[in-house]
Formats: sequence, structure tokens, C-alpha cells
Amino acid sequence: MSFAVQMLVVAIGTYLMRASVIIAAAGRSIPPRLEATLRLIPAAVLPALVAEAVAFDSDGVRPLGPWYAAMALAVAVAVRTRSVGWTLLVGMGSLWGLDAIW
Amino acid sequence: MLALGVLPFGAVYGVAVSQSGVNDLVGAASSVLVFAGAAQLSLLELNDSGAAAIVAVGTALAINARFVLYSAALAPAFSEFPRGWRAGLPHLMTDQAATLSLIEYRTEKRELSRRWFYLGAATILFVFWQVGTVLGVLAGAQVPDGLQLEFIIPLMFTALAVPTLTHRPAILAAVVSVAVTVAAGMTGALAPGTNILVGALAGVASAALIVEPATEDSP
Repeated sequence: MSFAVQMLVVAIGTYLMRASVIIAAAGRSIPPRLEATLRLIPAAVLPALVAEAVAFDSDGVRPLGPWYAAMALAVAVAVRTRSVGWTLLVGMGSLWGLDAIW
Repeated sequence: MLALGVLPFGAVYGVAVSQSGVNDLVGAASSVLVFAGAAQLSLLELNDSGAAAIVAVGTALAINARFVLYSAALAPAFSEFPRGWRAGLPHLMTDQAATLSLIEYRTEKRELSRRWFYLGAATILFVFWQVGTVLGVLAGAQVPDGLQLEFIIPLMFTALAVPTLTHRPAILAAVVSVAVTVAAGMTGALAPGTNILVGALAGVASAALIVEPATEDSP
């Protein structure tokens, strides 16, 4: 299967997953407790994506080093400033700085 | 600002396309048709390393399985939208557009404003993603590896996650999700990307035990 065909299969499958519950639940009422639970989804998914990116690289578990330290700094900055710009700046800056001295 | 973060992320993918054996145009078309960075990168890398098609496609779909969760999270608001919008808006779904919209929907209750907010946020991200991809393809081999631009990806998700952690159930969901994602990944038993889904589901399930029912202005 060529890359183009694989990509089309992933594109169609991804659309079906994105549309799944939105289409299935249309016109139905959702119990308040379930709705409150659904609102927690980003709070669970986003930290999982961060953990996966930091803790693993293409060879498996990432050894302790600049990625962990820079991410710890970036989390502190994100909590204090709530600013995407500062988080990106401090995160990339500290990664480059730590990489130079590690 | 989030859109500016998407630009280098798109460029990371574009550079990967130009350095791979895949045709530049076909590789870039993935940004329009799949429109999901982590899955696009994984599909490209597995394809380039000669993995079986079923493995490459399966991994990309596993990484994108989290969109089923966002689909469920957005469904209550989207159920009021006209049919055509419900069919079209999902393609533009990203972690950013879904999260920003869910935060906006805590206070914005008008159906018309809700759908335009999502469309606006999602479209800006879509456009920046395409521009980033093209810039990356054009820059190609001139970008040195030492920059580690891929670190922008978890940084962006960190900045996006913090405003969602406003109450105890959300914080519990985050802590459990991180622990299970890392633990499941370390076992090496799951297909790549599946540990994210398992971790997120464990986080939501544990937080569901202490969550209060949604009221008009609760987060």
C-alpha cells in the first residue's frame, strides 16, 4: 500500500472518529452528571500527550535529561503566567540552555 | 498565540516530509486531509522505515482515537447545531480547538456564538497548520536537528492543559492520566499511541467518581 493510500485510509478513519459521538448523540439529551464528566476530557487527554512526548522517544523510555528539566520549568511558567507565549519561550530557551551544559 | 505555536509544529512535519522518501505534495496533502500532527508524523516515519501498512495505519488511528473523546465532550453543545455544521465541523477538530471551545462554552450558552467560536478557532489553526507545513517542506534540510523543534508540541499542550485544571476532578483526571500513560507506555505491551487513550480513559473514569453534576455555570 503506497503512502498516499495509507494516508487516505487514516484521513477517513480520523474523520469518522471525530464525527462519531457528535453525529450519534445529535438530538438526544445528555444527563448533567455525564456532561460534567465529558468536560473533564481535555484535562485528561492533554497531560497524557505531554507525558507521552516527554517520557518516550523513538528508542523507548527517554533517559533523564534536559527534556524533563525544561518541561518542569515550562509547567511552572504555564501555571504562573497562563501564557502560551511565555511557556513556549521559557520551554525552548531552557531546553537549548540545558542542552548546551548537560 | 496558540496559532503561532502551531506554525513551528507544522514546520516540524513539513521538514520531516521533505527529508523522507515521500513525494512532497502527497506528504503535504496529509496536513489538509488528516489534519492531526502527531498521527501525520507517525504515519510518515513508519512508512519511511518500511513498516507494514497495517502497522503504520493502525498506529496513526490509535494516536487519533482521542478524538472520539473530544467528540463526546463537544456532542452536548454540537447537538444544537444545524446538520451540515455537525457534519463539517468535526474535520477541523484539534486538541486546541476542542479545548478552547469547551472552555468558552462554560460561559457562552448561545448556539450561534458557540458554533462560530469553534469555526473561527479551528479555521485559524487549520490555516496556520498548512502554512507551517509548506514552510517546513520549503526549508527542508536547511533546518538543523539540534534545534529540537519537536519540543514545541508538548509545550503547546502544557499551556493548553493548565486552564482546564480549575477544580479537583480535573486535577485528579490529569494526575491519573499521566501516571497510567507513562506506566502503560513503559510496559511496551500496547501499540504505540494506545497508552495515551488508556491513560486518558483511566483519568476521566477516576475523576467521574468525584465529579458534581453540571450546572449552568460550573466548569
